[in-house]
Amino acid sequence: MKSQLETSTTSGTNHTGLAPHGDALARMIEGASEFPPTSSGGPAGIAEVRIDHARMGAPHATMPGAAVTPARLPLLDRLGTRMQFERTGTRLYDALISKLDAYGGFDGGPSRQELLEIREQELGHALLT
Amino acid sequence: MGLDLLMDRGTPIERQRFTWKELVQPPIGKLDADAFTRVRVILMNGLEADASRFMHAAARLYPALQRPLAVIRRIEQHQQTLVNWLLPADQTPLETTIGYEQTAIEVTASVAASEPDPYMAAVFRFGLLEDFDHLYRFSALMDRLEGKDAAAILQGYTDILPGRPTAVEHRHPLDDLREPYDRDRADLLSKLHALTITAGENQTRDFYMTIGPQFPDPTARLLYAEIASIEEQHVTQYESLIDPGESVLEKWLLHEATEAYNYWSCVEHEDDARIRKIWERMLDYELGHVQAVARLFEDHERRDAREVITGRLRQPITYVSHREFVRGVLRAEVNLGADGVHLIDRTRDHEPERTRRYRSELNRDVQPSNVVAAGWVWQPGGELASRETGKHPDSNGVKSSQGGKS
Repeated sequence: MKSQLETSTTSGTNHTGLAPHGDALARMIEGASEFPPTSSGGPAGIAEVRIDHARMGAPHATMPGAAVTPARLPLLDRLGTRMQFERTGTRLYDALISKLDAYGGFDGGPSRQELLEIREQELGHALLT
Repeated sequence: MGLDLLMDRGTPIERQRFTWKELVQPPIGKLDADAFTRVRVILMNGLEADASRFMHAAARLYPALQRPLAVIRRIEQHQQTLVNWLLPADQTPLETTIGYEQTAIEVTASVAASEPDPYMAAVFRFGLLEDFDHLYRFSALMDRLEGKDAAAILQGYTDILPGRPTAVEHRHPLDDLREPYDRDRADLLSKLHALTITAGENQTRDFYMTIGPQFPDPTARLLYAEIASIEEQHVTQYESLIDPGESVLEKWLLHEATEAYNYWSCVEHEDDARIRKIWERMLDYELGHVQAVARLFEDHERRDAREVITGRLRQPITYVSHREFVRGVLRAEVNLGADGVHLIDRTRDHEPERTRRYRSELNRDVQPSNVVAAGWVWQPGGELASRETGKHPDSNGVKSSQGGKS
């Protein structure tokens, strides 16, 4: 089995991009020239819509009306965000350990034991928060 | 009080119009909106999708109806857009999935509890326990892939517990068909129930078929493949409750009645004033559709629409937690299976050989729903909320107290 790093730099059959399709590229450029846009203006229109909708919108979420003083709400809000970040980080390391088990490591890369340690540290941070 | 589908006339078709800005309104807040507002948005999107599905099929089969179908179907499509675009962009596909399963559980429970036909009520309870299990499996997936607690979406209204295990829900197609109601004798509410749940399940099937391949994790891809297959079974089951002897116009009239009934149920329960106005507008539009289709029905069939739309509807779908009802069903009926149109007790009666063979073949290599939830018990915050449940299986002796940067 080849490692991920090896296969990603090997020449193969990737069809992405137009360089391998010279005739099609020329035809597409020709078409874009023959059939112009049907509306005038530029990217600024998207900015106007964004601003309009942003002003209509409400915040993503607010803290529930719990029995805490308002002054503490910003801290609790950030702690909640951080706790979710650490939990998701723990699960990302779970997936990364599986990838290492599937593909093996690489020179200079982390060992399985190191990934396990970081994973447990992420969990510790979540529990601390 | 209640809803008289033929007396309450709604908005005439020619006055039913939208602008793009009306179709794309500010979405509900993922965490600030009540979970039942999300449930209503998800269900009504499903109702509109099924209206469109039915009307396209009818147009392919009945050329005489193509023109009125085209006009009303366009309005339905815009209604669906308005409703579905209320879902927020920060609600991930997996979080929306949790919302879909909560919708299936709470709406099916409401329908099962008020269904006047005992056989149909049993069928609704049968499907309910399967969607209940799906919520448990997807919640385990969310915890084990992303470290998130599905209860943030469910807001405590709905339990996260194993139901009838998904791995045993797989049945041969001939054991998913049920006995239809009799169109001449069935209660109107039974017909509306069957169409409501069929629509919800079909939307769930289509949603999973769309987002399933977007997940990079193979367990997620497998789980969506498995549960999408069950949703296909559920559509087969619920749509087979509908009398195939109804004429196309009778079916169309019932579809419009079902949409109006459901929007009315939304109006009755919605606390968010902005969203309530949307439900009121959509109810008026659907009542206008009922009027238009009732006239078509009477012109083409020379029958009174009141033969189909019988009387006033007094009991809306109830958007409340059905926790105790669901637990009662779980305790009493988790072991049910099916033999043709009959529900059987799997601990006493053998399921048909065709179903046992079908299931064992599908489950031969891997059982995704069992893999994802192996040993998983919901707790507030998920498995990572405690050192004991959150540790990696290989973490014994691993240092965890220092050195991490995040």
